[in-house]
Amino acid sequence: MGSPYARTRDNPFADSTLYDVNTTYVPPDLSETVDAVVPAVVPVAGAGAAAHTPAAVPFPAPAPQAAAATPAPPLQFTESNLNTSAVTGQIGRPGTAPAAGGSVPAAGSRPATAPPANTSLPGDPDDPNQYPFWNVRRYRPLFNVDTKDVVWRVGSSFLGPLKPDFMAVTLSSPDLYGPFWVATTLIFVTAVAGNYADFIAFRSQQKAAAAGGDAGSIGERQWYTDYAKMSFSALLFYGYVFGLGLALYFALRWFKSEIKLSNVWCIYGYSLTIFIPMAFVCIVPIGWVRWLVVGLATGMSGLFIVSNLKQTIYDAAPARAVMLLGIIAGLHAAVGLLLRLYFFHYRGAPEVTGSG
Amino acid sequence: MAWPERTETERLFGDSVPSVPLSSTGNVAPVQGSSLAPLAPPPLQGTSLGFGSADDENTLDEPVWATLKRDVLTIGRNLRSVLIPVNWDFQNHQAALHNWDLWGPLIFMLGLAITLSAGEKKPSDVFALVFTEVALGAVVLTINVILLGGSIVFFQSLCLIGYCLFPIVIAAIVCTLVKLSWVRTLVLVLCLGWASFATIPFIGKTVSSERRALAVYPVLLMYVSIGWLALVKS
Repeated sequence: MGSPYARTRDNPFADSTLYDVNTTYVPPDLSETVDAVVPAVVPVAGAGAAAHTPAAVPFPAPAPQAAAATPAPPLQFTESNLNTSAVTGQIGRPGTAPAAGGSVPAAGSRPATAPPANTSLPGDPDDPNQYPFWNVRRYRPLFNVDTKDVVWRVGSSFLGPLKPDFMAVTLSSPDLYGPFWVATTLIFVTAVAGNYADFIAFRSQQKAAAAGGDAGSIGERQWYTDYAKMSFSALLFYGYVFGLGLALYFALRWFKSEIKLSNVWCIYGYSLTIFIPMAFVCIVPIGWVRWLVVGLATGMSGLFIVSNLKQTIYDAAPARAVMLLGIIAGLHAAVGLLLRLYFFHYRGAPEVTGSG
Repeated sequence: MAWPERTETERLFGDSVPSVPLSSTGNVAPVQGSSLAPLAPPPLQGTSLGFGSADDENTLDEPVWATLKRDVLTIGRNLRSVLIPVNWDFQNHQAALHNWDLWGPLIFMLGLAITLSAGEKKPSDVFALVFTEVALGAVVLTINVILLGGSIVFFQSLCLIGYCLFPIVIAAIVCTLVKLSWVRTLVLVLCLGWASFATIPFIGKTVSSERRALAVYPVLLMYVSIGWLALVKS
């Protein structure tokens, strides 16, 4: 049985007798090694610089060669060939390798199935992690997208279930530009479209009252724009993307998924893009057209979310996956319903041809 | 505005030069009894960093009217150079952005909020909405540019976005006075075009060309939303 320290680093199990369960344990003979340990330490302190090997070896190996006066100890430390310059200590965070200055391909632990959109920071060589957390520049990697990337992502959310590769492409480079500005645009657009739809209904009501000879109870009311719609829609859309996204993130993390919060926000944010044209179409004051359009848009964006999150959820919680996906789809349908009933339903008058 | 060229000692001590001769050979340590010897390094002179770069020491004594007049003239000058980006004014254009001030944006924002909230069913709601939207919008737009990797000076950008509200203030005043929707629409489109024409070159140049649309779109969104508030005003 050789000394355990004689193993090379390549194969720690080269000395199979040490790990062979069928042999009886024989304690190592320390009478020889104990004396060798002490003199190995002394020459390091005494020999000083001579005992230190050149800087290429990170491990401070006590040099047995310097102990010429003492009997050569049986301890032989081999020089380490471990390369520490590639150790970053931060798995999966793009752009944090100390030597490579930001162009290291991201997702160290997660195999990207598609080439990431844009992993190097645009033209400035400084590492965003050098800034403290209150400095805006620290969050630049979350906005590291070009116009064509955003356009692609918006297009992908429109196509939705037909080509569910959104998650694969944005896994390593999610962006928060899309979610925030799509939600903001949607707030504005639903307020505008909702108010205009109400105005059309108000006008038709006025005309009907004037034509029917009503004394003036309705005809003289003045139109006031409802600005409360803007604050409510801000709460709704920001809450849906960021609040519900956060809740889903916590749920997924509880199931030990590795997804990042920005990925969840990215998907939820881009899923709202289809509601923007929907809001304009809903100005048409026909009841069933509105229901149809809202249903279509909600269905497509819901399918977008579900088909892109499906893989992640199945990986994390295979037993509960159907339930989780059902909850996600249900909440999305609730948002669609709320859109239809709050923004595009004028309480003062019934809509043309039926269901309001 | 040409800052008067004065030496540091004249700025600090008025027109009388200190009687203690300041040794420049460096062989004399600051004398204990001399209260004038150790001069702190004087602030940069002539480089305009916005407020405070004027000769503050001399403006304490001036009459109020002179102070107001100077600020009003600054606002007017900045307004002209921001909103009329003609090449012959190029020198002033750069100077205006260096001499950023927030008085103009504040006055325009308040004017806009008051105009838009007059005559509404709930004027306080509208006022709060406009005020919040403009203030937060300017800040968020600047942060957006920084996040996209652009280099921008925070207060210069606030100053510019604030000054570009001026055409929209005009549109709001017109919309208050006129009820015809086609007049409102026409005036609004013209004023929005003017405001965009002033802001877009500035914002567009701060980010790289692949992201220009990403930086410009939120600016347009903000102006269109404020314009819509003017359009639907009752």
